[in-house]
Amino acid sequence: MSLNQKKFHLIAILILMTFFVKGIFLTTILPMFKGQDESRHYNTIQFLNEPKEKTWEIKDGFSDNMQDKRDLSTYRFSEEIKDTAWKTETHRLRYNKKDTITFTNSFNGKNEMELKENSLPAVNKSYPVDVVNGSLYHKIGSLVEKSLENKNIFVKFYSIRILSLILVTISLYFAYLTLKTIGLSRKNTLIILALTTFQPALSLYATNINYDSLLILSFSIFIYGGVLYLKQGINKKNSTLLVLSTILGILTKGTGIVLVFILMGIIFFETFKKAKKYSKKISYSIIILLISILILTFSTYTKHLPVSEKGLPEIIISLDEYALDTINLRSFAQTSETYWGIINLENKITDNLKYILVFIDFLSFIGILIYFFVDKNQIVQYLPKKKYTLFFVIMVFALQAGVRLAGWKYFDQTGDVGLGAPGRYFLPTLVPHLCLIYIGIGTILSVLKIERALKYLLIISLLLLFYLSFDSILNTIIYRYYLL
Amino acid sequence: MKKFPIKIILILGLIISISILTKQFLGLINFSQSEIALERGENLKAQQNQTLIQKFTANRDGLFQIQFLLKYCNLNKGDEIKMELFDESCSKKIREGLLIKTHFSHNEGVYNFRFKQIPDSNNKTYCIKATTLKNKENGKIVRFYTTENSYFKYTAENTTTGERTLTHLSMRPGYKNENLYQDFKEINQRISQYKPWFLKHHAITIFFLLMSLSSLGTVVLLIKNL
Repeated sequence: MSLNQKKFHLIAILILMTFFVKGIFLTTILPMFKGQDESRHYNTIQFLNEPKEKTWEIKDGFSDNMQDKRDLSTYRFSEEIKDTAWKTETHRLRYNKKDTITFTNSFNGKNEMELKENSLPAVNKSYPVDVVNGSLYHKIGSLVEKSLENKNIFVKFYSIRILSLILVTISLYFAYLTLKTIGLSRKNTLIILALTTFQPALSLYATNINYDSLLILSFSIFIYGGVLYLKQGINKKNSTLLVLSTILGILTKGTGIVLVFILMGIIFFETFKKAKKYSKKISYSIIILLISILILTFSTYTKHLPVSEKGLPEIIISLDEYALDTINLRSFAQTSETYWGIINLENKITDNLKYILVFIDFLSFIGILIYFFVDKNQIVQYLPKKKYTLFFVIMVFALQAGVRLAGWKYFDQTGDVGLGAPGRYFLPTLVPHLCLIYIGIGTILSVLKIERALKYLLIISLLLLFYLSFDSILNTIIYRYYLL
Repeated sequence: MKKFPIKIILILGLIISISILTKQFLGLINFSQSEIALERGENLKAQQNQTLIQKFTANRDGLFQIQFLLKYCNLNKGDEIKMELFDESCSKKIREGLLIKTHFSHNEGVYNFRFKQIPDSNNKTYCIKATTLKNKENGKIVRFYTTENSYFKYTAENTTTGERTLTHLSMRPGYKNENLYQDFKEINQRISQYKPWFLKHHAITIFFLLMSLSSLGTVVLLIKNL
């Protein structure tokens, strides 16, 4: 059945709306401070809003080991956050999967009215304050917080969660533009967009107070700028998108540096391509300037790596130990699990899915290799051109490299893999990743002369993610926090 | 040759997914006495063929399950614990069944005793007998945690060995309402707590319906236009 333009746009709008509404529902069912590092990010936002002159009593000398991990009211957070955390009984939910908070027989919590009417001030008294390095996300969040300063903490907190959701919904719009630009059919564009919408981890993290939501947006804009550049050549529109999204990424989170390197790569490529048009003097000057910027950027970045004060043998040993601990099937399965949002309850259907997903990734990888080496006439028309595929591969691997290098640094300092590589770190390249799976599997099916099966596989994947998405909402989150 | 009805099969797949999700969710509905935290205090052994007794008073109608916190229990590898619910005098049996696993059995050691709902349980005192029918040979002895928090005024006892504790078993009764409408209303109440005005009560119902309808609409339209 053909899909006309009007219908295509209407379904795309429906998909974006679904993501937003699902996000609002998830925002609601996830209790306060249960998002990833949410209390710390929210404290950062409140800290930015504090007056510069501290007129209240400050107690210094606190440290992490003076805190009870289960009890946020013992953390170095604002008085309002500590008081709310205690009165909303978050201590019954932290590091504990067997209890809920104490519910009342009404629509208001036990201490809700007290928190609404007599909240403590949103100022930090325990120093050093526990905050994240303030980023653009926190500054935007602090504007929302400021505009609602007369409202209770529930209005402020959940409004900032919705801000995160809006940022990720916008990023989904850019994903839609990207999919349209790389030449996918209308149907496949919509299915991949819907797969992104039903990917449970993206929806869940989109509702957290966390700078990852702005990072996802910056990557999404960058990817769109990148494919536009590949389609049209350099022009005002795509260069603006690329530069602005890179700046946005850097101002948001350390991982944003990945975009700088890719942008530099694009500039290099473009300069070499156009070098013939300029006089030798100018082109050499540009190249020297670019190399200097690259060296400067790289040397700045190496300060954050465990290579600056080490000799080569020590670097190799350290890297080898890190690789042994992190590059194995178990570690990949763990990353895959948190990337796809499978929450590890004893659910027979989802329990082994992480291994299936790693296998699909592996199969796609083989497919991509075939895709790059077979004659282009043998590849069916519905797969995007190689230049887009190569760009997606670079995006995915660059982010992988960035995250792994940061992980290696942590391992080198502590001897512990720490958080490892949680799947959420890779969500900024979710859409290129889905496209690569599509291309990889599409190539294999194409080689096997059963390319018609691809559209059915896409729809079956959609059904699977639909199931996982609702399973995580109903049978995991609602069950865990409200029905135990 | 007649075309393979793939779209119908996909729609059937969607209906089956929704049925599984709904069945699972309805099976999870339970309103525990949420003030009770399952705590790990002293533990009480329950070797094979030994029976523990614990009394408790229900605080509302619709009693239908009791959760227990156990230290060692491996139902997968052959441990089996029979549960019986008696009246206050421990003489008239009301319900019986086996202890079963929950989502959190593996990590947290929470196990369930589920039975047919008792509609008029409010303020009534019941007596539970837990008998270890099988305890895997060479395995660890089944142990029930007790708690120092006195949610119930009765203490636990191993009637076979006579071992008594000054505390009661770490356990939590669960209830259901008379019908699904009341269950959903109570879920809505629980979710509404500590939420801003725009994410409370009717807003939750509206967002849930919008989410479900738009998700279903998306999947159906994509299958239809395949």
